[in-house]
Amino acid sequence: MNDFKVTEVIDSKTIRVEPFWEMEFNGNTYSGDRINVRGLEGLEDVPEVSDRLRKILINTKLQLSFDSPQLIDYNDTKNSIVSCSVYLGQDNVVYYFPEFVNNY
Amino acid sequence: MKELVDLYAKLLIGTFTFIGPSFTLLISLFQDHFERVKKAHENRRETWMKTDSKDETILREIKKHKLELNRLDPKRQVKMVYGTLLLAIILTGFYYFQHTHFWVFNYGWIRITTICLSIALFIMCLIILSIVFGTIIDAKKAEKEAQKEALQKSKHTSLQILKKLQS
Repeated sequence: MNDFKVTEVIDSKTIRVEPFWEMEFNGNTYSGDRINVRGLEGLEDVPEVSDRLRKILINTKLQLSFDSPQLIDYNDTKNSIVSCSVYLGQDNVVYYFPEFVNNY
Repeated sequence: MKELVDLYAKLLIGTFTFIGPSFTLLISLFQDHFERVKKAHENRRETWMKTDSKDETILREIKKHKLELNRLDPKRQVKMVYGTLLLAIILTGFYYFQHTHFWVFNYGWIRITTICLSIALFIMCLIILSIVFGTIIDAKKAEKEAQKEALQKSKHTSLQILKKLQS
């Protein structure tokens, strides 16, 4: 069971979580606190998207889960970035961005 | 015409006696799922409202979830079905009453309006019943899909919490 909390929305596709996540890949262990939200990756930095992510993810009482992680930046094993499908309750977070996701 | 109205009245009574036990059984069978789906719609609606957006699509989503919540409320469903059916039965009774010597007004249009209103309410009741049965069928389908998804999700790797090293 995932037990993470979003502490910051860095931009319209990246969030910071607490505690650090950890993942094994090719015999190495990678960790970090940044996650790219799968589905929002094609967007340029859109303030409305960042703002909405902030409103729905920070201090939410719904269960947050991060599925199908994929390492995308692993030059630094202690400060890597992973891309995940982010679920708020049982809904993928991308569900709350219909006007942005369908336009790119 | 009299035979048709008699047949219609028997159909009304038959429907009334059928839906009582069916409702009780179906709602108790799917109560858990209704609660889960209701919770999901409430969560979605609350999350949408947090966005404070005035966008048309989002306002429509909020309204859609409110309608879904109403559709999933068993008390509301029972009131709608029984309410329309009872009114249809009362109006049919009133139609029969108009054929007795106690009814002094001899206007054909009142009798026709009464029976037409009764039929309209009965059709409304049937539509509501079909929506309820549709909800139950959706509930069964969604339950199966949720079980399939849970099985698939457990196969994917999940992120792990980093264990803090004691220094």
